[in-house]
Amino acid sequence: MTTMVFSRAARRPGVGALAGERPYLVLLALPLVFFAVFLLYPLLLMFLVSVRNYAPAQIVGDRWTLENYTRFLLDPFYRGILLGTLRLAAIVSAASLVIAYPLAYYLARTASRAKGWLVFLLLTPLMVGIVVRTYGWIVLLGRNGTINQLLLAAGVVREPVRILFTETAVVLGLIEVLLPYMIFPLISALQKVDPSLEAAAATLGAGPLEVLRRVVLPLSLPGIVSGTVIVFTLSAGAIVTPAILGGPRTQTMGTLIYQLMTATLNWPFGSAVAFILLAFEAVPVCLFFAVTARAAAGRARG
Amino acid sequence: MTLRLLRRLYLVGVFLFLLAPVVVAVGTSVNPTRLNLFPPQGVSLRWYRAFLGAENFTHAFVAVSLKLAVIVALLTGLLALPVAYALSRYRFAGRAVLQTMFLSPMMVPQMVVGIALLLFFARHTFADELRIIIGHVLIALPIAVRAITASLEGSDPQLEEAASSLGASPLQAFLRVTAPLIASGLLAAMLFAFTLSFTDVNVALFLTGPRTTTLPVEVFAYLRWESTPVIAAVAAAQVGMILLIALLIQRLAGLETMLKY
Repeated sequence: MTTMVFSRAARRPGVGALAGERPYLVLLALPLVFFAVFLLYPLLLMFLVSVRNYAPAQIVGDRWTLENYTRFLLDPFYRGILLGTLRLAAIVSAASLVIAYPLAYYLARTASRAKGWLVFLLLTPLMVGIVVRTYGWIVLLGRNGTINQLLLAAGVVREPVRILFTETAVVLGLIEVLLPYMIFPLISALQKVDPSLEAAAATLGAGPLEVLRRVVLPLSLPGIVSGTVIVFTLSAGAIVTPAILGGPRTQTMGTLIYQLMTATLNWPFGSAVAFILLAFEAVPVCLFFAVTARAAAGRARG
Repeated sequence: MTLRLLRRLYLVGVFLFLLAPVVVAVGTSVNPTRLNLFPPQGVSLRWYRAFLGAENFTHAFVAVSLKLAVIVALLTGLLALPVAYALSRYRFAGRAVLQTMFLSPMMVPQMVVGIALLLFFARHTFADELRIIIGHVLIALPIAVRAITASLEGSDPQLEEAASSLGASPLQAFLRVTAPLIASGLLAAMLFAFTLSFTDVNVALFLTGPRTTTLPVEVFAYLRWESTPVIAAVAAAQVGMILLIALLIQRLAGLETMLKY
């Protein structure tokens, strides 16, 4: 039946032989061109700019060089920004994982009718955008902010505490902004874990913690990996949250690259710094996959 | 018993943490003074008037962000629909590669998309508005492709085959059989593309020109040096609009189809 229909379509004149035999090419042609011209070619261009020298008048010089990369990696000032950013990203992704995991487990297993609305409440902040939520954090964390009012009223502190324009503010803001990106991969991984496995382990005498450690956590590892990678990447490249909640003096890779590309206009150096960040974002990704693979191999042997 | 109580507390805590900034941002807008205080010290519409009187914010809201987001939504739908259709209805060599490629902008950090396009546009001149539109279509496309694929997979390809065996051309079969079935999924994907474009900063930061500063970029630039409740009024308008869209997407396709990994 199917073949007959398709062969009829193939013989049909009109849209042309190509449309008859390979209709998907016609459908994909325009989007493919769009991608090649506006994503692949610009990325190639960005790489080529990163291996050119900086010439003040024309911005991108004529000489091929690796000096943009070596300058960054040899200068302790820039290395400090890189390490600080990676540390920030590590803290944010670890904290997000710990906060998100129980919620994801609950949402993956609950039969509650509220589930749809809880998911809705997770996604709407994401849709509202970073800038609005970052402003909300200014109001919450400021000297006269909601948190300080609460702390003063409860008698925990006598003087308002300084939270805004510190690293704590940046960490809090980033966790809040990125938490949904951790929760959703975890939910989809946990939904694939068969609840009867947990029941079986419990029947065989495993306590709740042991079931978690030896059954649920290993089986949901793909979700843990992808959530962590996404949150790590997004926090390492964040611009808005560190720039606003960290105050004008905070420098992260994101704010540095933004400044180089739009204010200093040193495009070769800015592009190189962006590639260095991409390379370092790949390190924890590889590390994580290596650990996962070893754990899997260990389980297979054991 | 205590376990259940702990679970309740934890759930309430996480949602409070997630929603507090949005609620606080909106609530601060009715403050009568210049201070960013929540709970507000009174109720006044002063900052809404200030917002409507600030040409930079109203221009960025209506003439730039709203307009661009509508165009981005239409273009994204137009590009994502054929991709989703080809990938879900045909099996051919290289399909897996193409699938990965069309979803790849999610892997490339948005900042990098912005920088690469900035360098591209420095060489090849495009109108200021078109620059941002292209950047936003790139980041919206993967999510739209995914969402439309999901709704295509929910409609039976045999229906279209039946239509063509009854003499309908492929286009007719698509328009009269499949299109009505996936219309709500397509609309939901386009609405999501609209909100992505309207709220994006990471790409727009690198692509805005003097008269094409989008609302989030305008607010970001303002917040770097000062903050008054006028931002809260802007936020309230944005949150109201996006909440309506989110409810609409929820009814059309379910919001969670937009963020499947």
